[in-house]
Order: sequence, then C-alpha cells, then structure tokens
Amino acid sequence: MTPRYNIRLNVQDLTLSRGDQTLISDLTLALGPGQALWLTGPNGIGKTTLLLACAGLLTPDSGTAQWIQQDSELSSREALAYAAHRGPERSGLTLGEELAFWQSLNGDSLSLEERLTSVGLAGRTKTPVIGLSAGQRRRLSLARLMASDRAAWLMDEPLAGLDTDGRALVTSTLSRHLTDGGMALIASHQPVPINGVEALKLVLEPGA
Amino acid sequence: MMGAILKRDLQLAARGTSGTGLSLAFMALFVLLCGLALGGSRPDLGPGLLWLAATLSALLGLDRLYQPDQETGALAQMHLSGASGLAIATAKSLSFAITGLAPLIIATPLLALLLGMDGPAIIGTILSLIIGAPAITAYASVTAAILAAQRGSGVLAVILTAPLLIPVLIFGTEAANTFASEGIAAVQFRILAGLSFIAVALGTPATVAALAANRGPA
Repeated sequence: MTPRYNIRLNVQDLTLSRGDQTLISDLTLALGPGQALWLTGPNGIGKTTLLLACAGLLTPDSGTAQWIQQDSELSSREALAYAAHRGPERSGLTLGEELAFWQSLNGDSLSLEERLTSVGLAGRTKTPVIGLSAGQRRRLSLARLMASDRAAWLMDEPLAGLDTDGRALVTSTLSRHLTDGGMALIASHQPVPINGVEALKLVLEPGA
Repeated sequence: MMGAILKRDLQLAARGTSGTGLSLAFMALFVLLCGLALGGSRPDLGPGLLWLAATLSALLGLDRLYQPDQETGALAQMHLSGASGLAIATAKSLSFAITGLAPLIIATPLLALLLGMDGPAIIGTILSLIIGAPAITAYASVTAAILAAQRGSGVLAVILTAPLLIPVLIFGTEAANTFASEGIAAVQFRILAGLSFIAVALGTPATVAALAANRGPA
C-alpha cells in the first residue's frame, strides 16, 4: 500500500526574532513522511514563532523552511494545516456553521455530522461557539485539521484543556495521520503520545 | 470559496455583529440633528446631507470588516485553506456593501421625506448613492484592510477614508442635484460611475496587498 501523503520539510539555517529579540538562530532540521517533531521549551522561547515560520505566515530573518513533495517545492499553504493555540472561530456563529465553513473552504469529503462525530462532538451542530469549553475548542480545531486533507499538521498545544478521551482522540488521530505518510510538528509542554512512532524531540533553550 | 466567505459574513451580520443597526441609528440621528441645526426643512441641502450621512454612517462599522477575523487568525487560516486574497477581498467588500451600505440606501427615502425633499430629488439621491456605492465600498475596504491589525481603530479608519471619498461626495451630491433637470444621463452621473470604476480598480489590489502585509503572527 502506498502511503497517502509524501512530504518532506527542510529547515535550513533558520533565524527568527520577535521585536529585537532573537529567538531561534541557525536552526537546521529535516523531517520526512511519517515523522513527528515535538517542540518543547519554556514560555516565550519561540515555539509558536517557529510554527508560524514553517507555515509561511512569518518571514524569517534569514534561512528557509521548504516543503518538498516528490522533489518539487510546495507552497506552505498547499502542504500544511495549522491548528493555532487560539482558533479562528467567531463567537457569533454556531459550531455547525463554523465547521461547515472550514469544510467548504477545504473541500472536505465528509459531511458536517460525520466530521463532528469523528471528534466526539456529535449532535452539537446548534451549540454557539461562545458556549464551547476549552476542550471542545481543541476538538473543533482537530476537526479542522482532519478536514484540510493536508500532509503536514502544525499543532500548537493540542492537548490543552482536553480530558482523557480527548487526549486519546488526539493520539489515535495523529497515529493514523502519520501512518498515512503525514507529518506533524507539535509545540507542547507535555509529550503527545503517538502509537508506533517515536516523536523527535526538539528542546528550545535560552541562549542556545 | 468566495461564496463561503460571503455566506459566513452574512450569518455573522444576522447575529448583529456587523453593526448595521448602529449605522442606521447614527444616520437617522445625523439627519435629524442637521434638520434641527439648520432651522426647519432645507430641501435644497437634502442630497448633500444624505450623502454625508450615508458615507459617515457606513464608515462607522469599518473596524468590523477585517479586524475580528484578523484577530482570531481566521484570515490567515482562510489563506492557508487556499482562499486567494482576491476572493477574501471581494467577499468581504460584497458583505460590506450588503450589510453596511444597502440598509442605509434603503433608509434614504424615509430620511429624505424628513428633510422635505421632493420626488425627483429623492430618486436622484438614491441613484447617485447606488452608483457611488462601489467607490465607498472599495476605499472602505482598503483602509479596513490596512488597519486590520490595529485594535480600536474605528475613528482612524474614518479619518483615513474620508479624504479618499471627497471627489465621490462632490459628484454624488451634484449628480443628485442635477437629476431633476437632466436625468440619469447627466455628466455628473457619468463622472460618478468613473470614480467608482477607478476606486474598484485601485482598491482591490491595494486591499489584497494590505491583507498580505498583515498576515503575520495572529
């Protein structure tokens, strides 16, 4: 069986700063299909900044982050889906309207109800977004990742606010994605267990 | 793609997050106060006052066009989901025209009666507002996109947009005034239409560029 995705990430001499503070200097790493990278380190060290740079949402001071599929470069928006720490949902909408919007942008093959069921939010279509708990918002953001059909998933604190079931859901979803040949970059303070794959660990340290 | 973004904006507007009611109330108050300050009805000043009222009221809700979606990171996510800058700018501009501008134009005849304007003057004002609407929308979209990353930039948006709208305001008022004598073929209407075309031609790429420049960290 050929894997569904085939993607590589090449980070070359990446230097990132916020304001006048250099957060990451000369970072080089390479990631291939089926691999996961666990980014960890103290608050404000630049985990999110690194994710943003990989997502192409932030211009690095120097160096490059390239996405490669079958030897040709892919734009970041074709390569990845990004689950930010704070989701893009608007408080005026219901859960169903919000998720249906992102499904239609991404051309998701599953129906709204199927997608909600897959993240344990079945029957919540009419719940206003403003009434969702932190854990339910994480589940919604997981649903957006799954709806995107992108090879690389960038996840910022995917376990924050999740209960035991929710953490198990993240583990099983991620494991399946990596088995499909996908890739994951995870910024998290706690390890994210993945079945069958040992995540590479990158610890960002001050002055490193 | 564009339809989905527009639909979402209309859903949000239906929940009252676009400030349409506020703009309508401001416009009514503005016309009412003008009537009081000018001492009785002044139908000759009607078209000018209505143009001023509609423009300023529409600009009031400008900080709700891109700013909330910028703040939550929704604009960046739309970009990553494959929506082009042009699709986002067009959908947002249409939503502004529908939820921010159209209600004001619909309210215009009622307010015109308040000012004691006659039939041709009212029709002239409405037509000129409709023809000038693309210009108001395009310039409004540019400043809203530039200020998307600034919190509480509502007044600044009005200040930045108003100078761009001066020619539109002049010819809009003149077109409304000449409608009674020369009809829709008056040169003022044609200039107004030309101003709208220029605004859309300049405003659309400028909006796309401003959104791209603001894409950074959410």
